[in-house]
Amino acid sequence: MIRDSATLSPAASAPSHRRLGAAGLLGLLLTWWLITAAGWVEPLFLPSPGQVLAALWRLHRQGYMGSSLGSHVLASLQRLLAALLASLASALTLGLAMGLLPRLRAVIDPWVELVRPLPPLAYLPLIVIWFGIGEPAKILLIYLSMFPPLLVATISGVTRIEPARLQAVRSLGANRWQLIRWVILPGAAPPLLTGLRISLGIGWSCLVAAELVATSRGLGFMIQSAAQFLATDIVLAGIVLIAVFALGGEWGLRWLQHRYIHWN
Amino acid sequence: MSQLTARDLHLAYGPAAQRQPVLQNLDLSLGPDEILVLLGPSGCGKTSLLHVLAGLQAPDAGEIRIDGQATTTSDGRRGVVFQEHALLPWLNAADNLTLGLRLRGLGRHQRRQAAEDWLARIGMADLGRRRIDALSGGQRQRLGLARALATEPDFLLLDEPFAALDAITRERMQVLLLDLARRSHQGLLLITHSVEEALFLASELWLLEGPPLLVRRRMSLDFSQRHVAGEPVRDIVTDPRFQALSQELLQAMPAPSGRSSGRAA
Repeated sequence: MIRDSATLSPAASAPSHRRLGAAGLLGLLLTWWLITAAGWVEPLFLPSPGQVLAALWRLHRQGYMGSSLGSHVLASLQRLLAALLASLASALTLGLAMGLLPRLRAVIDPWVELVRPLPPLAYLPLIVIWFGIGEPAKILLIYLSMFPPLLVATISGVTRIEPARLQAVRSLGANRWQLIRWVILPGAAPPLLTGLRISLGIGWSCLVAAELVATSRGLGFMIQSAAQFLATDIVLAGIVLIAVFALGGEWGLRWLQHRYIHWN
Repeated sequence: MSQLTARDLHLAYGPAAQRQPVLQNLDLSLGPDEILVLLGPSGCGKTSLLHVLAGLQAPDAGEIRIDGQATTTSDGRRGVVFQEHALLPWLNAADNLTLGLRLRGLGRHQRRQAAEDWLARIGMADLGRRRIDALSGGQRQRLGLARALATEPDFLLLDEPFAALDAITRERMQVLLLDLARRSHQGLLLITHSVEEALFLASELWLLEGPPLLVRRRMSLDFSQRHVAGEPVRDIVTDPRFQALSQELLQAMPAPSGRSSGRAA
């Protein structure tokens, strides 16, 4: 079910539909340009595409609030990546164990079900109280948001492995680890990658929220801080940058899925 | 070569209150060059028996010995061929074929050699790099057979291996199986609900009903030996004795619920 909601239907990725999608984006950009060029909206509320590009260039040359643009981007990417690696490692381990040991799953499932529907931002204050406002607390928040979808995806991947495949490889003399290596992990890979895409999406939104608190670096910080000075062009530049990275990650994962995971 | 013996096997499924016995007091023995065919309707418990014999499912009671030594779990000495080929779609044909060798730690060179040999033997010499989903049903089943044989197990257990194939492919597979079995002298146990397949392949045939699994008839047959000795399949299956036995077994077969009785496809 996760897969259905996240994967584009085959029709949507057909070439003609892709062209339509690109045309739609172009139309949006054109409308934006028209509105600003005609002077219908003040630049304070909506700067023109050119102004946003200029802001990007300025950010690139001069940085923002004492840090270069690169270091803002790097700070955000590092937080996201740290949370991603931690959630991937822990979700894989726990998900495998839960998928293979029904009793463990029976114990832990209720916890997961309890935490999963909670919006991570709801417990952000709690994390601040418990773990302070340092870097670890930020990564923890992002981690907590990315972990549940990955865990659920891993469990569903492990439990839907065809029994006949497991039996076949066992009959070839495989031990438990060899079963995991040759049957369970590859079999769980498709839902896992889909879970990863969902996780990354949630991770980005929590990243921006995490950077609201006590930081001087990061794209989320840049956007928030610029908003306070009504520097709308910088706000939009930050959003464009996040979109570029988020889309890049999404497309990269989708490419991986198509290139290497042809079974499903 | 080895001898497999199972003694007093018991197995039941379901929650404690309403346990359904599947195997009761079942004894079985399988030696080199034997082809024991279990013929019975779907759901009579023959697949459970095969899983127990393969070590994939522990019996509730009873023991399985190979050359007198008790075995519990699957150990690679009993190859299994499944009804649905059960190949791994993330490996190509050759890597599927040699997976058992890889699990035993054989190097790339040896595996490539084995893959070449086996692919040639099953008539798929150029298809080693193919993806599984690019193979026909018959090719997949041949690959499943070769995968089980590549590790040179002492026994080969086949669970309705040709049930999903069309008539011509099925007959070719039966001949291939006899050909491969004759070379390697494995003891074969084959499950089927096709009377003609059972008659053609078996050196010993058990007619089953159940659950719980019960052997209604046992007969020794020599049609497969006649084929190995050179008699064409057509001559064998049109032999009046083959036809008569076929009729006899068809009538003796307990009708499974909701399925036409087991005539060969």
